[in-house]
Amino acid sequence: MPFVSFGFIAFLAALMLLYYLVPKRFQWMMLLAFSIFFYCFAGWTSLIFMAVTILTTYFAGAVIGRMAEARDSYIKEQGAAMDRDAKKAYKAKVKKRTYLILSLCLIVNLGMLAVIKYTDFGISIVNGIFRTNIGYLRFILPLGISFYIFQSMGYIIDVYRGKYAPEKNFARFALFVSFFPQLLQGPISRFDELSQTLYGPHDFDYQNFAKGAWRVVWGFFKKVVIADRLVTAVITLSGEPDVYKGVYVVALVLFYAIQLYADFTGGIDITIGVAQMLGIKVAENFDRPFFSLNVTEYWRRWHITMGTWFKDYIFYPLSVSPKMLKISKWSREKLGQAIGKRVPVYLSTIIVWFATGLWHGAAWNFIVWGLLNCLVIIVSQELSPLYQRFHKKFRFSNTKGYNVFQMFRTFWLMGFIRVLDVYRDVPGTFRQVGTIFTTANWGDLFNGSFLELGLGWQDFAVVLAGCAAMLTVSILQNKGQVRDRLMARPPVVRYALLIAAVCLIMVFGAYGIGYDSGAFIYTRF
Amino acid sequence: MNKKKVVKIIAAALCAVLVLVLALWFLQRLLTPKYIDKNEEGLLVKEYYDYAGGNDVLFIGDCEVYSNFSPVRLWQEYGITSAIRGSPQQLIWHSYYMLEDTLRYETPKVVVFNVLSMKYGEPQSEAYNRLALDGMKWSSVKLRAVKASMTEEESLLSYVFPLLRFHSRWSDLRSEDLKYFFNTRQLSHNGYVMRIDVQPVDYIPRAEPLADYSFADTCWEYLDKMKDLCEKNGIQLVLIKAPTLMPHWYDEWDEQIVKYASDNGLCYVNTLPIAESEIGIDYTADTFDAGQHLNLSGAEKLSSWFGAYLKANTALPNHRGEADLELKWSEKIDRYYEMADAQAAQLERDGKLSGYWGD
Amino acid sequence: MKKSKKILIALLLAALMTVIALTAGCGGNDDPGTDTGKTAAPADKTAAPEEKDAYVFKKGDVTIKMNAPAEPIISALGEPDHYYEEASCAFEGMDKTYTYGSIDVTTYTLNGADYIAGVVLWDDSVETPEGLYIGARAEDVARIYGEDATGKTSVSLKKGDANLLILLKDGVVTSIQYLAIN
Repeated sequence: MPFVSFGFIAFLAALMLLYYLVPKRFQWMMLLAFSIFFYCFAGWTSLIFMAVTILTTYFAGAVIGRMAEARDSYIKEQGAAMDRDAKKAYKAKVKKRTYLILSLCLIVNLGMLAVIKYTDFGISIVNGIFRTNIGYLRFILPLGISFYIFQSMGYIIDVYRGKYAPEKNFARFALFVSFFPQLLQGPISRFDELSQTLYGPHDFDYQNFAKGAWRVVWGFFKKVVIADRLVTAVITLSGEPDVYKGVYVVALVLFYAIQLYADFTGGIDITIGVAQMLGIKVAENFDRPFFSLNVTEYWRRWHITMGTWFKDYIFYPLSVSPKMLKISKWSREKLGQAIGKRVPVYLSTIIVWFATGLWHGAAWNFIVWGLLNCLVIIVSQELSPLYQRFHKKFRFSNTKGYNVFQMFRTFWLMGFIRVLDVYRDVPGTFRQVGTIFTTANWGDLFNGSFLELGLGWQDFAVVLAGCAAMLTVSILQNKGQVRDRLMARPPVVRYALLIAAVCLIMVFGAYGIGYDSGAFIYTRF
Repeated sequence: MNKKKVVKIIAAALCAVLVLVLALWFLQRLLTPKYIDKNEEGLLVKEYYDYAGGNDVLFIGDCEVYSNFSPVRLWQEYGITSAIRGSPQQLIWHSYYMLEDTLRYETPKVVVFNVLSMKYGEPQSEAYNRLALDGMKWSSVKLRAVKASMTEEESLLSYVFPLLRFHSRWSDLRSEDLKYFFNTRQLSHNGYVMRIDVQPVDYIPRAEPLADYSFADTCWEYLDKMKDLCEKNGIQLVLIKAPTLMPHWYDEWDEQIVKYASDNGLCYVNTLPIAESEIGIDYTADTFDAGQHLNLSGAEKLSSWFGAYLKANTALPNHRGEADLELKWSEKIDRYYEMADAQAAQLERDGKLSGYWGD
Repeated sequence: MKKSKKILIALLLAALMTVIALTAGCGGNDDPGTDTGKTAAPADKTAAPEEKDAYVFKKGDVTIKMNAPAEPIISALGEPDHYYEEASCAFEGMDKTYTYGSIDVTTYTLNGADYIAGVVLWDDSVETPEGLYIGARAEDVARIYGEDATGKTSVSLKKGDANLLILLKDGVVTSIQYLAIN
């Protein structure tokens, strides 16, 4: 069930009503039932995949938990009779077993993900290299599988590491994996964080509820009014690369940045807002990323939960893995301290970014996208001494003006890397970006050519106004939540604003057939 | 939270919802097309409810009924009370449900169905659905009509709340949207849309042969349903093909209708072969778009002839002389000639018609 | 860190990128599904690219391609013998028919511009670029358009956005029509 549908709004209304009417101890069960219902719209097969993840992860967690408990009580009872080595050996033995369970769980789930998501990509590579013609399997990707598998794997790794005890109640665990607001696009939650509020009980808290609702409305605005409108131009520009070169590539970078931001953060706003209406706290996924001064900072503020997931579950374990330590030792000996100590870090970084790219999609453009991000991060890290000297020498580098320049630079740098997403063709993307320097068509900005991309001047005006609204809100957020200030206003003002917001979305939203308003008048007969 | 506060919150929320509903209604009214200076035919389906009741004859079909038959002329010459329910490219399922809808208001003695739409087995465009359905009053009939007509891209909800369909018209808003916010203009004369200008037929393109002349199963099903509904209500169904030259009406199509009519004991008349000889249509003077629709003079000739046909083939009473009806129709006749005069004046002034109202 | 080492690292990374970018070429443009999860990604670009190769009709030097902008084609064909326009009821669409001796060319309106909707051949003074004419035999159809091009009363062939419709009666071609596929 997509967020932007009347079905979803009706679904929410029904849930909210029942959620606060049933006895509080049943609230989380209600959530589970609604989550399963929500996911049913994705089809029965999708439900089966999710069931596999829930079952395997739950039981693996339970077994690991029991082993750890048994180990602890054994040591408690027998500890006095064991010497240090015996204890260590015993612990290692148990660890080996829990590791086996963990591995099995990871293999089943990540294997499932790999087969569904990457088989065809593998086939395409094999076909490309060996000039074979193996047919694609064309699995239909179950909805949100990348998100819930990562979330579950985070859980099982944490349990293995002993960070927290496994969830004992199967249904409660099922809710953790299937919690509907975050199924479509994350965030990738951590069990220890989400479980604090997920299971309630929750009294109806007007302030919280209203604030959540405001966030949902704001999310809809971003998604429906801005992102869904701009997508027309993005499709036109990326669909005919031979036609749209030079200035159009620059425009595509800008449009796609805005579209993706509005779409993704809008969706997350809906997710977090809905959760807040239910009294549940879901982790933030964005922190005004376009205000970042550099790429490293950008990645701390954009898709935060994915970044931290990769850091916690891939980067760190990889960095301290015995293999990596070996490589570190070897490189220090052979390449000297300076390079030697960088090798393992950079190797881990490259692997993480490769995986990040691959996670986004089974295609070269995503992998190259990941590695380009990695390249920028490593290069800027290497150049940081240079920067520091520069900043020391030139005073202006601390001024607001220079900060704005840095934001501008980061925005466009990330934007140009991001267009790989839309062209979906690596050499093609580089060619297109190249045309910026070879095609002198900047005059098209002023001769009306931009009005032939599927959007009229009125549409661009709406997008511009929408961007101004997003920018204003982001700037206001420097002084705390905008919604807190809103809630401090008299009810009349708040309700008037809410009504205006709903009307704005209804009228200026890019939805329905009417969106292509020309179609109503110029139709083929 | 104390009880008083809860009540306050609920009251405030209810007020807000009320204001929101009002605001949305206002926006919906503002953004829905008014069909005054563009696509005027969008008014037709809604206008029926103004002249519903007491009509002995009901014409249903597409532009071949609303452009070609004049109820005023039928009244004047034969005392036949009639109404037309037609809209642009009205498909046969639209027509069927319109008949059902009509039966909620009146039961005519004769239903005349123009068969051109038998050629369309599938919806041709979403826009025509809106013209045929938006004007229909809500009832279970409309619900079924919408369900039967919707193209894949459409949703039922957008018929319940047309704002969902027309919200993007904000960029096309014109002064008529404000001017006709509350009221509208009457376009038709009991469903007849008048044009008095002339564009003679000087050439009709050759009709390319078709691979398959058989009508779609859906069309036959709806024709059957129409026939059954008429039978059930004691209505005589008459099939007709109006004498317009384009789109082509193939002999192979005609044969199928002839057979259907004879199999089911229905009257069917294809006016094309007799248009000039019997009806007196002059294609150099009686059409306003080179043979696709008749103009006023053509429609009056056709109506004169068809009135006689109805008298001969059905048992319709002559209502002339009934005081209340005379009064009612005299008003209609006045409006009819006023519009004709206004169009003539505009034609004289501007050399062409820019709208039906002649202003 | 020495400058030379920095350069070495930069070079290594650049080489890595290049290798990846090049191998990406081998991978081809097949797009076996993605799930960025993060956006309604610019939708369906994987749809089959429009086949450039489609049935076209040629009159003299003028190539008439279905769905092509009508203006240059009509002006190249010159003054028609007859012209007819069929306005759609209520909307601004307009179907136009241009008659040139033995062929009719029809157009449709989309967003204010006309596009080729079809070509009808009327007699044996004209033939398709592949050499089929009215009056030819069913065997000729199969010979010219391949073994699949058989049918008792009609043969409908699709290539690109054009539909070539051949009607037959008693084993003889009676009509040849090109129709635009939208």
